[in-house]
Amino acid sequence: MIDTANGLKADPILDRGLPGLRYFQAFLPPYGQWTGTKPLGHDTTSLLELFDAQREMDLTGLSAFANALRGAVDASHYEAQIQGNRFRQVGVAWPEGAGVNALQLLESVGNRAGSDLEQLTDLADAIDSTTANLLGVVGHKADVGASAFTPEAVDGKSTDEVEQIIKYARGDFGLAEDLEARQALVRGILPGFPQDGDPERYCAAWLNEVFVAAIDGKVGEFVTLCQDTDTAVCGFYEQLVAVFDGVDQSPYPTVQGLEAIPQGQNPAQQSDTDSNSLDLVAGSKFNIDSESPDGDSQEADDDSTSSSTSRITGDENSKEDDGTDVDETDDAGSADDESDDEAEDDGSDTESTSPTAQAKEQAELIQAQAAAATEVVGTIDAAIQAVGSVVDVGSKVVEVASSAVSSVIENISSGVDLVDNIVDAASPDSSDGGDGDAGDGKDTGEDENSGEDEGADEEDSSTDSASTGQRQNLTSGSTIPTATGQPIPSALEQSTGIGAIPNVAANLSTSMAMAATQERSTGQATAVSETATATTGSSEADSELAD
Amino acid sequence: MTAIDVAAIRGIAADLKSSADVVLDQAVAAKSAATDVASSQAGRDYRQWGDRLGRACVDVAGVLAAYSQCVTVCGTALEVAASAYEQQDQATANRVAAIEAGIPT
Repeated sequence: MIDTANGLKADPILDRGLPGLRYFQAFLPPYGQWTGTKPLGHDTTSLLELFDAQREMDLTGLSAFANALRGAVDASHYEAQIQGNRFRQVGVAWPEGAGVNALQLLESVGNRAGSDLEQLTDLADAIDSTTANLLGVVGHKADVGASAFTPEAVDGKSTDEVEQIIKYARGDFGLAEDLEARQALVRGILPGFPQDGDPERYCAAWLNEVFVAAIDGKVGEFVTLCQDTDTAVCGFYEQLVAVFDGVDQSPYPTVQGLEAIPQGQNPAQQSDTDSNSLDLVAGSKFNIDSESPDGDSQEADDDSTSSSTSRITGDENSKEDDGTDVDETDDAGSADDESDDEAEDDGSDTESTSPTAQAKEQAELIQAQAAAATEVVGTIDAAIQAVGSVVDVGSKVVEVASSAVSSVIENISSGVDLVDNIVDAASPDSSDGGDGDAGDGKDTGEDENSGEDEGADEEDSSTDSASTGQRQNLTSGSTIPTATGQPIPSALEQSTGIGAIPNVAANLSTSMAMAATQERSTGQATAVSETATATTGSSEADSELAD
Repeated sequence: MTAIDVAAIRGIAADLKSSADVVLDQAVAAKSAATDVASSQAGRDYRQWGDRLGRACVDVAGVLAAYSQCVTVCGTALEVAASAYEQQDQATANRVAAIEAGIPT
């Protein structure tokens, strides 16, 4: 983590190297006087531009982002642990059917979150190290510049002496007209001048072989220093951007693998408005509570195709960029430490971005979020419908079973009534009608013609009236349904579609098996079906007992 | 037999959504810091790197937001599922009760 108290700006660091630039300010003019050219094509201005390439670098914001990101990741780590516990609880509270799929989804979300948080932690570390590296390489340039390009002398000669040598080399010796006087002048500046040497040629040779070579060498050294620094800075930025790019920004896993909320992308919009509201809260808060990416981003998008490579391959785009972002530069320069200025900066950025474009961006994001939510809820709806259909099947089975059981019970009641009647008729206590019942035991329909019999049945009038229909069925040749496989009444058969009572249990079992296969979680329906089956079974037992 | 503990699922869903809100707050804070990363801060000759970094910071903050959003959606999905199960269970119970009472359904 960087100590921001010491400042994360390049300008104060670069200022340390300015003394080195004075070397060139001192000797490039005489160099030009003598050669008529610029050393390696550079003058003082271009060298200063090279040296100041990192000016205005202020890594305070980037470092602050790293700290904010680290804090966010730490807090999110804690939340991820909580979520992981809740995920596992889903497996307990919803252990079957769709719950299994839900748990798988949640676990995949948890795994993805864990991976993301690790990446973000690494990113925060990378930002810190990059910040340190950037300031370090700039500091190295400044320190080398300050030390390697001083003292301000070439071969021990000051600027004035060099200019004097240039004059001598051009034959300008002032008042000294004889050779010995000129030799003395030259020997005063250049002690190595030979006893019988040519003053002009010696001075020219010194300029060409010592001075020009020294300046060329120093300029080359300085340019290399600046270029190496530039290359290093670009490299550090490139590495950092690569770390950013390495952060997984693919959509998070969703139900049935549906992709949701891709960053900055819009999946196909869905029409389910109910589900659209599901996750808009998160998306809108993220977009509204904090400023959307400033106008720079929009401009950056325009320039994104050229990207960093344009910086490396040439300065034309950079210069154009400088031209278009003058205001921004000014803002940054004046808003280093003042929040008010930062606010103004934000405002100007916002103004520089089309409100329509911002609204469009937000609308697209909302659409993306809505579509993703729709997909999720659509899947849930489908699952619910599937569950509902299974439950419907179970309910219908229960209805059929209940109807069948009711019919069975009614028939059993009829049979019991019939038996009672027979018993009544056969009873010695019966005053009348006994013969008729006894004699017509299997054809009870004929009892309708017996006035005595009607009188005997008055005690069970309600049962009789209820069983009249059954008697009619029996009269028409049907028999009482039993567990022995005898056919059920045709009316019941038509109403239920079930061929025989024993098949009811079999049908229920089949339905339950289907239900269990389709959706185990429809335990309620299955339980009801099981209850109905049990009821049917007991009814069958009752029926057998009645027989 | 009950295959889903509706109350428990609802509680889990509420906890997930609450936790997702915390993550979202962190995402918002990270994004706020990201928007302070201006292109000019990269240095006079490195504005395009600054552009990329500024956008990358916002995008990275979006990862946390997406994470939060996903957990929120999961929580909502659990709520919806629990409610659907509960409603269907109630409807089935009502239907069975009606059948037992002899009321046509």
